[in-house]
Amino acid sequence: MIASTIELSEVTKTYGSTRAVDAVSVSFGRGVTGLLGPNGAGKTSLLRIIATVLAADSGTVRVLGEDPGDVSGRLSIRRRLGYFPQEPGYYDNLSAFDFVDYIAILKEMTDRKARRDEVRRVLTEVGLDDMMHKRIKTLSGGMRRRVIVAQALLGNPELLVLDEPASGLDPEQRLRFRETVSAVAEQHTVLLSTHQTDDVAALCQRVVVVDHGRILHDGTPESLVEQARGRVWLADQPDSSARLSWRTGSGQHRLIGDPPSGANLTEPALEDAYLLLVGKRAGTNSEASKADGER
Amino acid sequence: MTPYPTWHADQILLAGYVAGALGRSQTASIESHLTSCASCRSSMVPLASPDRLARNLAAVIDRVDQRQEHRLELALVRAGVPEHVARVLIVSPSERGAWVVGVVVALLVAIAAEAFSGSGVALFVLLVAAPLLPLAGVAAAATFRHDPAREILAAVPTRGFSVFLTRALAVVVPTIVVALGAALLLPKRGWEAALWLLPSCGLMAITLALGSWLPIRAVARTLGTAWVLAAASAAQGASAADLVRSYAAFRPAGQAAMLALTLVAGAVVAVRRNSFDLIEIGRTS
Repeated sequence: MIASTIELSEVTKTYGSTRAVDAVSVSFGRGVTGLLGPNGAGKTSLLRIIATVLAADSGTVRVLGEDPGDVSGRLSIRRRLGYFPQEPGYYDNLSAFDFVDYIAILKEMTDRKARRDEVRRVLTEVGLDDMMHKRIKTLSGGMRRRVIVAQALLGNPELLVLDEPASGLDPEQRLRFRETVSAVAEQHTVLLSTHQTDDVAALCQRVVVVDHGRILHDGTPESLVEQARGRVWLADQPDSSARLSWRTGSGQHRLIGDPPSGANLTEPALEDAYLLLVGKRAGTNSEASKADGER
Repeated sequence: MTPYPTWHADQILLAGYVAGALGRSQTASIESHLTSCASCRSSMVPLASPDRLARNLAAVIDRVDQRQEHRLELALVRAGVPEHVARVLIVSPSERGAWVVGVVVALLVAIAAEAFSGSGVALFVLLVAAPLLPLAGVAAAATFRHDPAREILAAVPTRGFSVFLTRALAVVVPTIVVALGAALLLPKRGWEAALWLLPSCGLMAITLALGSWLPIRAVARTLGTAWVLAAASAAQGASAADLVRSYAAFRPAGQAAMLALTLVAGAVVAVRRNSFDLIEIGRTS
């Protein structure tokens, strides 16, 4: 049995009167675990606690066998951690190479030759080998995000914490990103927060759905999909009894929730199950609700 | 068009070339031949060590990828500063350029005033103003808490205090060098022109020490204001010739006190260094 890389027990974090993380107990091990949840669900707070940049108010946190509340434990975790924050910043005037090189130095890679080789490796890994000497401000949004992914990969970390890394990536870049993450996850632990259910379906062995600071589901993506079996329908007309509905490209309406009259049962997708779990409550159906979620 | 080669290198010659055992003229000859002879290149392949080829390729890539290193970075490395430290000093975001220009302009004005008036007023103004410049540099470095990459920096093993100190040094050291140079240029003032150095160290050290509990920029502003007000108060009623001696900080006892404050505050900073972490954890533990 593989020991857990991360163990959280009754972890709570509040901001004023808002409980961002509410007595969460969960553990994570090797492979990719996807964190799904709406904005403000508590995913980022949870990941920041694991990434040692935020202290929990209460509860027990163990990451890579260390206590992040302890100075030496925190240091040990950070030496084995790759982190992609939700709002990554960079220095516009530096080249991609110089920025990643700077972070590599702060990650204690002091040998010039080895460090430069590693910087080149991670930038090549994310497909920026031709652009590494361009200033970051001249790169596209997707390329900038890949620079941040590259710095997270420095030193082949045992734990990779990625908070919405794939937003802004085009389909080809996303595929490349999936390849990179899955390669890391063969040996190590990857936590991936995302709004993209297709990323979870494609990458994750396990999915944890979070809302209002609590875990609503913890299991395989397949087990989440199963929760929606028998609750996803296609109909010619919208139905007010459905929890959520939207008009699909074919002109039919996809309905989630209680079985409406005159609708045909259809195969559920991960997104249906996720929406069923965190979507609007019964009786508050809105055709716009799906569009709102898509930004 | 390159003519087809009329001869081929034998295995012994190729093996000598691969091993680097040939003389310079033979090496040049073989190298020239290999560029136009696919047959000899093929014959050479089994003789070459994959490890050596990989090393050579890596060295070539490293050279091709050589970034434009900053002149100051090269100078620091030549002066014995470790390469990675020089990198961080140069790369660290700071307003160093604009900062040094501002300092130079301010000091040139003071020198011009001194040369013009020769009254000692300009020296006094310079001695009071000079410690404020590195002090403001420390406050500016404190913006690392608003660094665009702070969330990434917060999760690296290098301590927040080291990052902050490096950035502060990147601003403070050039400022001190410029200010000291300018002060020494003042005519007929000798060692008096350096009297601001110890107060400057004292103000910076106290700012850092208090900054481990309080917002650094607010501390720097408060101390800077107190320093100027105390100087202005001391100067009240003093003649132009006695202005420098009128301020206790510039007298021998004051200088000794500033040295002592620097040492004590430095010790406090060393003990409290964890509080400079960028993260919420560091502020509460």
